[in-house]
Amino acid sequence: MRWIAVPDKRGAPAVPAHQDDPNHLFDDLIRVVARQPLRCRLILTIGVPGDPTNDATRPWPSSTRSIDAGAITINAVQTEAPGNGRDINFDPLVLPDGIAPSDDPLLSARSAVYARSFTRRAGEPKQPSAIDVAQVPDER
Amino acid sequence: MNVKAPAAAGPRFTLLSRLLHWSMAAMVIAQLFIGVTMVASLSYYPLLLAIHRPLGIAILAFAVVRLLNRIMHRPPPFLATMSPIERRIATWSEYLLYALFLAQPLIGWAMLSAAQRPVVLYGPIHLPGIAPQNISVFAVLRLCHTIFAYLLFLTFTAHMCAVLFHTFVLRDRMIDRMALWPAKAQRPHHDRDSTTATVAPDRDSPAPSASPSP
Repeated sequence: MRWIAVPDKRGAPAVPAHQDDPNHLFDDLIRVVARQPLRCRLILTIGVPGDPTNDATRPWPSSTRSIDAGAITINAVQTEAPGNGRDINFDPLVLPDGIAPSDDPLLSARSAVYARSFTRRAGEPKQPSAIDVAQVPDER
Repeated sequence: MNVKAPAAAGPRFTLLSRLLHWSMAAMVIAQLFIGVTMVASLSYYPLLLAIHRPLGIAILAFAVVRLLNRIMHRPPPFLATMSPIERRIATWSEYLLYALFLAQPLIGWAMLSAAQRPVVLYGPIHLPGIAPQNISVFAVLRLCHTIFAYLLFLTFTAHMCAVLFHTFVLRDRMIDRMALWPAKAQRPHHDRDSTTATVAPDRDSPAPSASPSP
């Protein structure tokens, strides 16, 4: 199975452009989510025997069956802080019982590299997040 | 002075002590090599990690059994080929090895707990966390795990070199005390051999400093 999150653009407000501000992508996302939730459709593509699972660069045939499995809704954004995203290693091989990794070699490589980056990040002096959600002014 | 080497190295360690010693030796050496390979490998990292965790817990369990065995059984006395200072260094490096056998698995376990990673033994068998989830605690424990691994490797290497030096240079049959195989009968010595194997109880041995104990 492969999956993809497809942005749902319906009713999305136009984002003001502040390309000169180095934080504009963060700030714009915070402003958009403050007005209305962001939605993505979760599309699952169901493989059949013979579809390549060990090479993410090889697409599956376009005739492969897809399922719209539901919506991913982002309705709040939080400042990076102890205990949320800052302290988590998104290791693709830490899986709940019932889900097994495929033979995709990228999973092992990501697991190894993320473990190293998590270790380095853990040893750095801790500073407050450069982006503070509460400090971003709403420019309606 | 032309004293013949003793026919055997005297009393041996008990069979249980010897079995524990060699099984532990195999596990610890494998674990050290798995550890250094693991952190340098991309594709084998998950497989080696899956071996590293239960092997570490097995070493912890064996270390506890060995510690109890060590407390309950007095080891055979030191060989006469060991100087007083070498005996002291051997004793303390034995304590250091025991401490590292216990500390190193516990640090690894606590380190994963601090990172809130599941401590997977095998399949759905997980161990509970033994440290608070804190990324700074993880950073300190992770560094300790590396430092102690190198310390363990150095202590083990010194221990091995000391025993090999005694066995092959001083020819005092030190390794027979811990061997699982039966001790060979002493071959008759020619004068040349007996000179190299000459041993005196008060000899100031030039042996390296490490433990010949388990």
